[in-house]
Amino acid sequence: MKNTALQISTKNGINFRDPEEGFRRSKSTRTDISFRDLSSSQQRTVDVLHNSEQPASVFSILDTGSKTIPVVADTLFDLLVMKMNTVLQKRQKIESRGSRFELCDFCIKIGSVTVPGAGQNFKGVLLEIEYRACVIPNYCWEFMKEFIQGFLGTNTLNVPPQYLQTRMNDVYQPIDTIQQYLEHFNMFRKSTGIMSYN
Amino acid sequence: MAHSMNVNVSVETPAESIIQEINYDGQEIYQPPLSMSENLTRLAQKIDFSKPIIDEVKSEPNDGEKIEESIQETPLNNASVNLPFEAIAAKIRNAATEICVLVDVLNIAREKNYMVLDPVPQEPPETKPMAHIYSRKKALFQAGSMLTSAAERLRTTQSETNRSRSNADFHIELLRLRQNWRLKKVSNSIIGDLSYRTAGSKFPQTGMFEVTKADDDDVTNTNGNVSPAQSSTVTPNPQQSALRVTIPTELQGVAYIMVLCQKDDERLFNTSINLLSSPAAPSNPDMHWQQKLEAAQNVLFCKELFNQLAKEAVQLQAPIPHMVIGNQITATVLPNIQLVIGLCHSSGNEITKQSNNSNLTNKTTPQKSNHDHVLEHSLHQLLREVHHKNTHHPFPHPSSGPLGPSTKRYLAGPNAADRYELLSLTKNSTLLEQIIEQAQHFFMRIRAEQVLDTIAKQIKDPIIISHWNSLNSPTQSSVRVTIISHGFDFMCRTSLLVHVLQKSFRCICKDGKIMNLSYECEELRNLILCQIYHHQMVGIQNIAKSMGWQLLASTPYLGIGNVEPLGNASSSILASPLGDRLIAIRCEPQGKVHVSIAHSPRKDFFSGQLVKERKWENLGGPFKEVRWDKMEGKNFLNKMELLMASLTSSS
Repeated sequence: MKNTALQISTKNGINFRDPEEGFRRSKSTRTDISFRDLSSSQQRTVDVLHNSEQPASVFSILDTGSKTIPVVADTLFDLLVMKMNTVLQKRQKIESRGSRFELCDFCIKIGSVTVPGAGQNFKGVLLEIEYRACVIPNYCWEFMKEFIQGFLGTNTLNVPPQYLQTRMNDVYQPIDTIQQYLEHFNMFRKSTGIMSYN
Repeated sequence: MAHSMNVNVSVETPAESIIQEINYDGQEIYQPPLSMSENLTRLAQKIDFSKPIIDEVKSEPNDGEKIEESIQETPLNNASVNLPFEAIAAKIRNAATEICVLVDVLNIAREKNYMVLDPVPQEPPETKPMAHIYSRKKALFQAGSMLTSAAERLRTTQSETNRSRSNADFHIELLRLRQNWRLKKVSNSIIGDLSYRTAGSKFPQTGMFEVTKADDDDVTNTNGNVSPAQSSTVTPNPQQSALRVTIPTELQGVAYIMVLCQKDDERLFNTSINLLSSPAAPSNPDMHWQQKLEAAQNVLFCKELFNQLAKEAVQLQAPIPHMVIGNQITATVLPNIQLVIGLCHSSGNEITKQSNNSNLTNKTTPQKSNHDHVLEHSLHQLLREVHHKNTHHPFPHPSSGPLGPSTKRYLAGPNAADRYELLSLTKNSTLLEQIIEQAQHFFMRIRAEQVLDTIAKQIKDPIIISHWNSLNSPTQSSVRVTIISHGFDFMCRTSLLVHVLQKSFRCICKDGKIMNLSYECEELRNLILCQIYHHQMVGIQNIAKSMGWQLLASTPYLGIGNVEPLGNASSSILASPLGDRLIAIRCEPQGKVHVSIAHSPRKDFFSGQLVKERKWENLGGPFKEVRWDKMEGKNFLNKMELLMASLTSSS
């Protein structure tokens, strides 16, 4: 399942078409809880992510300085993490919540990114487009670009996102979606407000 | 003085153990005292078997002088007399001597050279005949009285065991009952359980039965010739057993699930089934308890099955709703075909008949031959599967997670399954749905068989062969249909694979086309007919290629000519190797073929006013139809081959 994510500034509202026949609309959320690992001297973070598209799974990405280790687990993993309070220190939670639209083989998700905390801090908008009929990014990148250009105009990328560039010929997995989301979430965490994608 | 009166006396036990060594700090280490066996060993070692024994016999007639001498000698032998085993050793030595002497004597007497054993003649004793007789009589009388008393005793014990044999029998029978069924003792009575609880059933009806001793008054009713003098040695009827089981009334008798598939012609609702005209086995009160219990268990199983099916029939929403009337469930399998599932229970001697309130008479009594045993067995298997799933939870059994989800659900998390996959995991089909699917597939399979057999019988020209796959499931089978012409099977062979599903057919042709047909047999028949005439066309083209004829044109869907009721006609035009003959073939899906021939240089060319030159004769003449029924040849392709052969000119 091919996927691309764009980050759009908050000032430009996107007028998305109302759901009409051909569209099916439902809710979708992605949440990320980030932990800092206190066990070792080097700075390691563990990110625990949930995606409403895969309700039975919990994704976790361990980021050491040199490499990242992704894990896909059952929902009991959450309980396990809760038990590791002494080792993992909770840092920040961020989530992207919004609507999900289905048009034939495409799945479009728009989420507004907020940091739940003292007052919902709004960070931005994330747009995710998924083409469910193909699993190799290389075969359908052009097609997806065309689709996106249909409503975003000249704002689209000409090259695939950086995460996918090395994986264009590999089978796409749900963990790849999560990795892309994590990149964007980290960018949102660093920024405070408006940011445009280069 | 006081202190001089008190004298300190210290009492010490004599040291029993030998001091082995004394440490430098004054501590004494004792040798541990000998244990019993060590003591015995020490004493036994002091026995000396080689020493001469003290002769006690000779010492008796001795005078006092010798007694003094012997007393003086005894201190010398004190050491030996004090030995505990000396007397034993002396006696053993004496015995050895005596036995040696005896052995020597016997050996010598056996050789009979030096010594012979001769019996001492005895005087014959006086015989007093009368006393002899009297003594014998008395002895016999005593023996006789002893024997009669013993016989009396045996008889009394036998009569006792006869009476109490039922008791022993009862226990043996109870043991056998316990080996087969679950029993427990509740206060005075023995209660058993014949339900499927421990196998995973969750049916609320209990299957309790009670075990009692068979009463004695039932037993003693055999023959009145028994004299009261004899003790009541009545043996119980070998077919009766010593114990009796009491089964609850609702489980008595014999039951089974009747499954019928019938065509529903005009009526909208079925009337009730008239149950078995003859019960499967008349319930005999004297039936052995094993059979009774098994029958009761079967009744309970059938009740649970029917209960489950009835519940599902009411809950499920089907396009044509299922009907539950009394002991009968009616479900529509395919249009005009109904599946009737009924619970037939004959309890005791009476047969429960449902009231027959219809006008149609003969159609309501189901024949036993209609009952589908395969589907009944499937129903039993499905319920057993449900029971099995209730008890056997799939691995893994985590201590920290829920127990019960299937293996696919366990793996859904780590495999990042999306919501569609999870939804498909939650779809469980109920018993009724499953049996309806099986019945639907059964009908589809029969229809496919019928269609193929009818076509194969009707159409003889290309031979239609159907190979059914021997591996199939209750809901899917497949058949490979091959169309060949006799004699030309190397030339042209059309095959297609037909998957028979629950409510549809799926045909996969050799060229990769997949066609999904509905449950109507006509569609399958039409498809096969179209494949047949397509086969003819392909055959013609192959033959033409092999004979050197050229294919000029070929159209699978011809737009000219009569409109076909089924499919489209197809046509081909062939030219001979030299080009002087043309054959045009039009093949219709109904099986008719029209073959026409033309000569390329016209035979009937006459140059007239308009067309003057000779060369125009090469445009080709009109096509003349061949009377195909008069044509020689076994089948269509053979006829074509012969036609082509006859039209090929060698010049």
